[in-house]
Amino acid sequence: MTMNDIPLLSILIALPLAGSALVLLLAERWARAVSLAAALLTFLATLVPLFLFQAGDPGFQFVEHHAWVGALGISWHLGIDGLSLFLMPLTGFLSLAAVIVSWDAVGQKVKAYFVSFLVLEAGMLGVFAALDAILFYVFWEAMLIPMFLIIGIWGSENRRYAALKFILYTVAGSLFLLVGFIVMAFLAQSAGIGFSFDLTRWMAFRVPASHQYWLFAFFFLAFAVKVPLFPLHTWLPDAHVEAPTAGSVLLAGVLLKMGIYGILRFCFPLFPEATAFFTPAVMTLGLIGVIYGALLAFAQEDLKRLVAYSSVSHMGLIVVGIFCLNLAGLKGGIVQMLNHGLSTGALFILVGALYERKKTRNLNRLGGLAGRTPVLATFFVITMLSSVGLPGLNGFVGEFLLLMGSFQFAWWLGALAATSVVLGAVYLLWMTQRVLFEKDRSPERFSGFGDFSLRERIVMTPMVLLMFLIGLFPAALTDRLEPTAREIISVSAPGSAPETSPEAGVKILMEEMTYGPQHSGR
Amino acid sequence: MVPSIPDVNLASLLPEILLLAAATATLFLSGRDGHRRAASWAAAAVAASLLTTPVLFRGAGMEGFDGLIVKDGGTLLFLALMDLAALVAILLSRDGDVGGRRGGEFFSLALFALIGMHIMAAGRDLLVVFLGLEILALPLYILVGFDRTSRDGMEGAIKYFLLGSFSSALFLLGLAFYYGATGTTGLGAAPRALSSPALLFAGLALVTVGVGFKIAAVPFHMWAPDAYEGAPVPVAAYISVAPKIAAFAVLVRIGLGVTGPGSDSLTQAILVMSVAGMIVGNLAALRQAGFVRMLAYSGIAQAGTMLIGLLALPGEGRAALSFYLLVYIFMNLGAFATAVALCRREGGRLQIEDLSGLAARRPLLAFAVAVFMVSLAGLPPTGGFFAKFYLFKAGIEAGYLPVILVAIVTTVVSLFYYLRIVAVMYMRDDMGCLEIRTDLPLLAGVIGAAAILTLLAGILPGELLRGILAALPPAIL
Repeated sequence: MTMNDIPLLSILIALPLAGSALVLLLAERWARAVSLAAALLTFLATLVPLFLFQAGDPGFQFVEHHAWVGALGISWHLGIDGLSLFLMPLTGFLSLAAVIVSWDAVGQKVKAYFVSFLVLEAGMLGVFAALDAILFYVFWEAMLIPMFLIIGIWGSENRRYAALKFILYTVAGSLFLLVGFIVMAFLAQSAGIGFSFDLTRWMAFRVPASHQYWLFAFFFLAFAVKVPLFPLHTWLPDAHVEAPTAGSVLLAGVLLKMGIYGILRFCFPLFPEATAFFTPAVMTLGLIGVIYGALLAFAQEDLKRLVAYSSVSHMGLIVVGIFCLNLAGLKGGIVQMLNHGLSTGALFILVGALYERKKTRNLNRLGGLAGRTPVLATFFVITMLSSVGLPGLNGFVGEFLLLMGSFQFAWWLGALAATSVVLGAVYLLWMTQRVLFEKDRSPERFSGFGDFSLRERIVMTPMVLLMFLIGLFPAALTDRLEPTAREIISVSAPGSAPETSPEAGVKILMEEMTYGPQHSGR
Repeated sequence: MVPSIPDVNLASLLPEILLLAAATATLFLSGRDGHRRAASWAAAAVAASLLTTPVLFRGAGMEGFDGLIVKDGGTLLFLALMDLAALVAILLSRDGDVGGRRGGEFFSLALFALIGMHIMAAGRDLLVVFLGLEILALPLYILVGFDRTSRDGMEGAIKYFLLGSFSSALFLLGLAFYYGATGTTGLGAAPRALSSPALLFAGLALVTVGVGFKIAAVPFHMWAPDAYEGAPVPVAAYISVAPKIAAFAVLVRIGLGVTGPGSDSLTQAILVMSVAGMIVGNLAALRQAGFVRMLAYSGIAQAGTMLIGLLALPGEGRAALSFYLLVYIFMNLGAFATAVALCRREGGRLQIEDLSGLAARRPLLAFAVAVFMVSLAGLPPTGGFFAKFYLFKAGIEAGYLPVILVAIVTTVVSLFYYLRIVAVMYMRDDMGCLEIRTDLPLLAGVIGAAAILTLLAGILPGELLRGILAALPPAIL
């Protein structure tokens, strides 16, 4: 490939960093414009792999490989496959949205704010592109400080507590990941591959069963905190509520996805036996998260907290789906990562916009907004329906695949997982009713607020369009994901991949529904 | 038996001779301008000593005094690290205005302490090491209490002196036992058929205690918080890094040299010191309100972490430890340098609360402090991360996974107090009652260079590491 000559992924990571350096150097009044330019350029650059990606190839593409810390077996190794292909543009897109959303919202320390966001973006892109474990870890941790600052400086009242809680939870998990990485490198050495942190090399040898179980636990802990899986989710509501709007958007839209990404990238391929062993336990926790998160969402009065708990529920569903380790579940999980990023990101933008207008996020003080702000209300309803999983919108594609994967695994699992959709519909619709309809409950009438501004429309329109686009033409996504999903299944299965569903007829019917008739003849 | 004339080889002591000359000369500098002039002389001497390192290194080092003094690659690396730390401390003292009219004495003492460290690290004989230890210790006792008007300084100096002399005595006793067990005071001599391994073990244990005192290893750390807080800040910076390097050099030599029956027990002792240091240091640092006092406990915790390197001897522990010490010079001295730049308006010690709102007033300085704290906490992309990473790797390779797990848990604890500083600087808007010294370009340069090097060590650690590995030949004694 000729594209291999251009270090596309390095450029992608360098662009926001260069932008942040420029923001630092220039005067404060340029900060917004430069950040916007950097975020826009980065976003456009993240689109390039979408067009040049070879859809049928399950391996890594756009690979770059250079020595970095040779003495320690660490290399600058980047590459993407179907798993990371769509997460890069999602990151670019949401970062751009975050910059636009913050345009007027930040009054103090403007330079530091945009520098934090651009560094955060570089870290996120790096995580999705890294194929060297330590490189991955460096990017993974390098995101923490910017996010810590974003929550802690520009957040609301209880921000310092939330920022510290966020970083402590994450570091506590990821330090175990670091130890796991080092042990993996030694195992690679004893397997004759040499002391190396290269993920592609790790996948070439079988981790001894005696080490798989505890290594899986170490790896999984770090990723489970990020997902967040019950009972490690308690940092999430605090972080979301205290973070500024743009911080919540990236937190929900991208950072949570990294947990799932890490599980798919590291845990499944490296520790197949342990994955099978831990599946019941993880699924139980995931199901608890699904139901418990939804029930907590019911009880919230704060809009942001409600959306945060809905994230716990939705992410739990993704965990359940991918651990089914069948095609539908995995594809659904990957698609739903994008969908959740899109719809929850959009929801946080809308909640932020509401807050700017009404100075409250309390459900008991909102209401009747549909009449005053019809455009905002329209966007709100579409986004909410996407989160609910209405057919025709993006959420449906992911949830359908996830639930099908669960049903293929076991009928009771599917039935329990489906409560996520049912409960989600209830609390989201109820929330929408309270916010947009009924009568205005705010104690003092803010009269001087208007409908969506041009800037807000510019942010939300592409998001809503994407929701429709993915909902109506899911094959554009799923076709590119399929080779990767198959690859994950084949390397993650201890022995040959057995199909779990006993009824062949139902299976064919379901496959036909999922992939279209052209696949069912296989 | 006629003793043969020893092979003196004075050239092997070239840096120490340079330092001695400068130490003697600066002693006579006094008066109004004496402070600045003495600082320049001292800095020049240390720089010259630093520059002799590559000269001595040519041809894989040299020996002197019949092998009592040895300067191989590993030793020279440690010597260079000490010189670097001393240079920074001297520059800080220059701008910290320590010593007043007695500046000549101050810098002379600092240089004598450095000579002691050199001898300690280069000695292959426990008697020589003891000499170095004492030459190092006496000037430092005085330096801690150099400000005679400060009650805290006096208290710190007395504590340091009493506990320090006690530990020196223990070292000497250990030396006697060691001689009794092996019939020699040399560290390199192959252990003969031992009549009493218990005696050797007791000797080594006492020697380790004596040296462990200098790195503030738990349970020999009691002096550190008071001495650090009482001492002038540049002196605290000096004793927080430079003697640690010398002590680690000795411990590495002992760890590499002792292979006999005593070595297992020695490893056990170091293991206990390491784990205890990480737990005690990190937990105690949580509760500190004073900035320097927090750094003192953080130093105790960091010493516990560094001891992991000794567990990994003769594996990669030495390289990992050297890299850690190098990064530690940048980040810890950088943190102390910022403490020199910040002083309270109404006198008294710098409190963490005083830093509140610093990011708004002095963004660059606050950024530098944040870099040092993040690096001390061991988060990427700073040098502290790779330093920890390398130590963890060496420790796991040597089979000490449980110790590494302790290190991990305590690292999470350490985030509380390191990040609290960042939070206070960036997330609060009330201005602390701080006087920030802006008229000191040299100090600003030191802080800036330390911050940049801390970051560089996290982005391009490979280059530094290659230099360290080149200096470390396969273990020779």
